[in-house]
Amino acid sequence: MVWTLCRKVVVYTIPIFLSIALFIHFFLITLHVMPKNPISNEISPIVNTYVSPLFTQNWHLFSPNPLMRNDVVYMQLKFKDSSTPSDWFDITTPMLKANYKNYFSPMNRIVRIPLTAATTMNGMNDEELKFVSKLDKKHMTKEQSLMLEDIEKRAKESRERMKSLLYRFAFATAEKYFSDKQIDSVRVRIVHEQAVPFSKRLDKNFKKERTHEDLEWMKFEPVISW
Amino acid sequence: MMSSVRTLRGTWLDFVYKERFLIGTSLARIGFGLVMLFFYCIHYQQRYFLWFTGGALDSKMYSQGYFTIYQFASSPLMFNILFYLGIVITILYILGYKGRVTSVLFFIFTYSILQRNGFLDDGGDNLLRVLLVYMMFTQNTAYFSFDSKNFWKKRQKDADRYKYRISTLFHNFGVLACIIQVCILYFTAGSYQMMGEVWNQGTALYYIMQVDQFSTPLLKHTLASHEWLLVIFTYLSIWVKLAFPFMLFNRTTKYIAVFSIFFFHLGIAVGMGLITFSAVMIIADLIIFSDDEYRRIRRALIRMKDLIGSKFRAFFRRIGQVRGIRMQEITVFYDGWCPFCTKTTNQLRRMDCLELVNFVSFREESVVRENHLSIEALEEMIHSKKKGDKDVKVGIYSFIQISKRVIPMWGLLPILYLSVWCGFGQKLYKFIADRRIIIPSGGCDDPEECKIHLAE
Repeated sequence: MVWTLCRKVVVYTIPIFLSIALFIHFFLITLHVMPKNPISNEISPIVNTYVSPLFTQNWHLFSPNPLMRNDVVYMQLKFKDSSTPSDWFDITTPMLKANYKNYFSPMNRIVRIPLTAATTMNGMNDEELKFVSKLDKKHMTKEQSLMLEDIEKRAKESRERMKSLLYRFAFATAEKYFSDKQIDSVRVRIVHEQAVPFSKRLDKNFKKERTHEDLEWMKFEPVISW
Repeated sequence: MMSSVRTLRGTWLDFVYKERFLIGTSLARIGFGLVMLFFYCIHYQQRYFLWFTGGALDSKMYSQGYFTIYQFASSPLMFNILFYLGIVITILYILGYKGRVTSVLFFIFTYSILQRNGFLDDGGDNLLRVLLVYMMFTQNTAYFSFDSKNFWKKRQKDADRYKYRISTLFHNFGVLACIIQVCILYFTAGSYQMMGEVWNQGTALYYIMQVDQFSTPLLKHTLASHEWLLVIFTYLSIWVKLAFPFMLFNRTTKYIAVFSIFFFHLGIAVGMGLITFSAVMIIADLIIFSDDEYRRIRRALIRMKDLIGSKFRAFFRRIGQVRGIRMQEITVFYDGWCPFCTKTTNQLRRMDCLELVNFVSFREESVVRENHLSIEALEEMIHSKKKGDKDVKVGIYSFIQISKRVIPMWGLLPILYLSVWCGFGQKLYKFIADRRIIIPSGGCDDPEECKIHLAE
């Protein structure tokens, strides 16, 4: 009798409990994925602790601002038996071309490694960039200065991480193509090529803006090749 | 008042305790499993570079990242054991063997390989990682699996039992979580798009098209000179995502939403080359349909297939009446005592939309005599004869004659001709014909001879 009553209670209470749990779960997930707002700012420590690591997610998917430039990664090598550095080798374009030939190939994902590193090299996301560019650095509040400090610290760490990733990729590529030579050091160049603005699409003489960033020479370290 | 509360309570309990979405979760299980199997296989050669210490990431990056089982991969042997185990578990997951345990293991291994090197991942992997948490609570082996027989047997026995009902309850909430998660994904992505300047202006796709990493030559070629299409597709991609969660409340709009999203992701796969991303997104949508809806879709597809089939058959029958084509009619003499031959001829008959092949069993009385054939030769290999022609084709040559007349068999013709040209076609045919099983039937003229004498 008592057992039947217990079962009956359980049959009613479990769905109620699950409904509440589901509501709280997705409330926190929504706060985690939606743009920042006063509620999410206030309870962000709870949200971050809850979602990490199982439920971390990001649904920006080319928005609000899609990537509007092409990044190309080059490398230059110095060999132990030569004092003059090599030409610049384009690392990413051949990979993209291989991907165009066959989308069901490992290149489809592997090319993301150097390109993600090159694209996120400055270490700040869109929101942070916007915040920094709008900031009047001469008249900052204490809160703003703390935020800027935090953003810059994280950006520096992220840049170092991306740089390390990029160099390791360059080492692996160098190992793949120059395994018969003794490589001394490598340096990386990132070329940014801006897209043609929509208003200039019909202008055949329009020249795309190209800038590049050269990173320093780095002593070669053997990395497992791809 | 009390009765309406009771009705409401009953409806609610029915909603949470009744099995739904068993087919969708089973399909999603297979789909997600195949995506991961593809992921493992396609990167097999590069596995050390991508996920082992000394590869793309330095050991500091691995130690700073989230905990995964690959943290135990201290040596290449250990790494390989974990990697191969991942493949085995993925295969078991696809086959639906010991679903409860395999679902948990599949989640652990998939989560680990995806988290090990996040630079390879995309939104599809992100969704997969999250959905697999909810999928662990679902009954995803009820269909198309090794476990399905056991599941239905158990269900018949335990349907009203307490434990079974609780398991169904968790299944339903797991599915609900998957659906809400997919809705949050689309709504959030659509909201972010609404905030973007180039999305608002309808030029986002134009800019994405210029990024080599996310645009295939096909997309560039197709859309480059069609600005209208670029703008329309840009806006459509926002609207379909924003509307998606709301369209799920009505059956008709649900179909429209899912099919729109399906084509949207198909476009991404072809136009942007994001194959697994699109695959995961499409597979996730399979969970949204209930079992009843799948049955309804199946019935509609069968009806459509029958309708198209009958139209096609009528069309080809009309073509088949043309005198020149009619003259190609042949009679094929097959062994009616051979079950394999009978089954094959029945299949060929169904495919013979021009009705140019008449199948006749040479075991039937008078067939051999009327056509002046030798029973010994017929028993050895299939024979065929064109209408009004004395020339008889034997074995593989007969099969070529059939294949020429049955349209779906045309694809086989180059192989058949090649086998003849190489000289092994007839031998191979004879090899198969010699090994056919023959079960004599009929021909019991003397009832006394065929009587079964039971032991007294």
